[in-house]
Amino acid sequence: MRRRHAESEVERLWRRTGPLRRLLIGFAVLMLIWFAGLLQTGLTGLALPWPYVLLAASVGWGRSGLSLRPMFAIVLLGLAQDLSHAAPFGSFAIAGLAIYGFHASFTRSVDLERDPVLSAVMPFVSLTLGVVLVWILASNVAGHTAEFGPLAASWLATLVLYAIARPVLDLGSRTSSAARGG
Amino acid sequence: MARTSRSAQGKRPLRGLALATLITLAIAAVVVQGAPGVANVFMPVRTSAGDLLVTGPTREASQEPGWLAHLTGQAVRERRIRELEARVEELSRYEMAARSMALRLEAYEELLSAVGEPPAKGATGRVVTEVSGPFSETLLANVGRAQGVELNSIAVNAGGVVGRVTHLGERSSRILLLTDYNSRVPVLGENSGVRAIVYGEGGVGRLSDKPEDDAFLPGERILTSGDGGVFPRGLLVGRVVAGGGEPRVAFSMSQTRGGFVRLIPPTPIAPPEADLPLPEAEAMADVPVADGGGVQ
Repeated sequence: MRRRHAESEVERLWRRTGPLRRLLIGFAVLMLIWFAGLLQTGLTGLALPWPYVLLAASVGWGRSGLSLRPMFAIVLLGLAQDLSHAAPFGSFAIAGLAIYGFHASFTRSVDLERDPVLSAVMPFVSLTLGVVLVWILASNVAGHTAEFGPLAASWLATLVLYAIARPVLDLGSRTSSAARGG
Repeated sequence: MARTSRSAQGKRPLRGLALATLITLAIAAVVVQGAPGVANVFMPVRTSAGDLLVTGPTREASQEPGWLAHLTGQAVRERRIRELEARVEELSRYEMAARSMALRLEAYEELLSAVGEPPAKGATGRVVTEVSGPFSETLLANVGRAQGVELNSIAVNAGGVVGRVTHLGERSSRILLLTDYNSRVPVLGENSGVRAIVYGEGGVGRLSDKPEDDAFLPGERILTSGDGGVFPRGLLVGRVVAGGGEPRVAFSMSQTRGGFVRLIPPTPIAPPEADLPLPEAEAMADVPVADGGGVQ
């Protein structure tokens, strides 16, 4: 009973939080996860597959439609991922922005009412497309076909991350309110 | 509400344009970095950011490790490295003294015609896998015939004897551990001098073939006796501990498992030469025997 009360309190607070604060909180959480990925081998001695926080952000923020601030946040996350993956600056930003645009367009044109089935399937499709795009970019930059094994592991990790962090990446249902209003 | 909706609809193409512009800029950045000259411009940014991320900020004057080094345990490792460096420096002095003494000992042995200990040989390998299943307790080391390892080589680690090589590959050796039930090592008590055979059972060593009237002293060190010629004499096996009314051996190898083993070739004792007939006897045997059977 108490726990349910606590949850509803958190939900109520989150509902009251504006899109900018939600964006900042989501950005901070994803940056922390990215940073933990850098330290994981030093701390644990293991090299676990780490999620692409950028793609999770692109899909999560894309659900609320196009906006300028998430785009800049995606560029920043992309630069961070470029650093950690030793990729040319801008590589991850391309993938992130493209997936953000794709997901936002889809939500705006097809999934206005956030259909539960589409809400479950589309992130999967978008994240898969994102990983494929990263693979194409990596292969193009390296000049040979990049290994898909590590990417597949990171893809799975990204799906898990997205499933867990989805509420934090929700910037509010702008599209549904716009649809209702219009 | 209608005005808000119209405003949102009016901004949509702008956002789309902004997205397209950002993607184009990102593509341009990637393409431009394909040129080595441009890529080198970004290199210092990349390396310094990488340094900052990996090692954490350090205070240049004191060279103290940063917060990240503390967090990742790098600070502890660096302190340990400094301690070990100091220890190596100290031990280097002892090494010089030991070398000098070894030379003198060699000279004395030569003067006395004494047979000294053979020089230590062998190869050190990393333990690749450790099997402690129901069938056998073995280690697999990444050194083999190519590195000069021989069958029945003795495996030791920093603690003492680990076992002996039972299977030898070109680049791998399987070592039967002392803790295995089928392992039999002739040993003796360092202080009591009592001899026995040790074998593994339940992680400790059991002593068999002991003399009835002598006993091992509690806590004394157990060394290889050299009997049988497989294990050289004097290698540390463990310590005597009490267990179930009988003395048991706590293997010293278990206390220090650094992941490396040194494989020392066995030094079998050559069997004594067979009795050869003396030349005089052979000559006498050729002489024809006179009547009566006596030698003339």
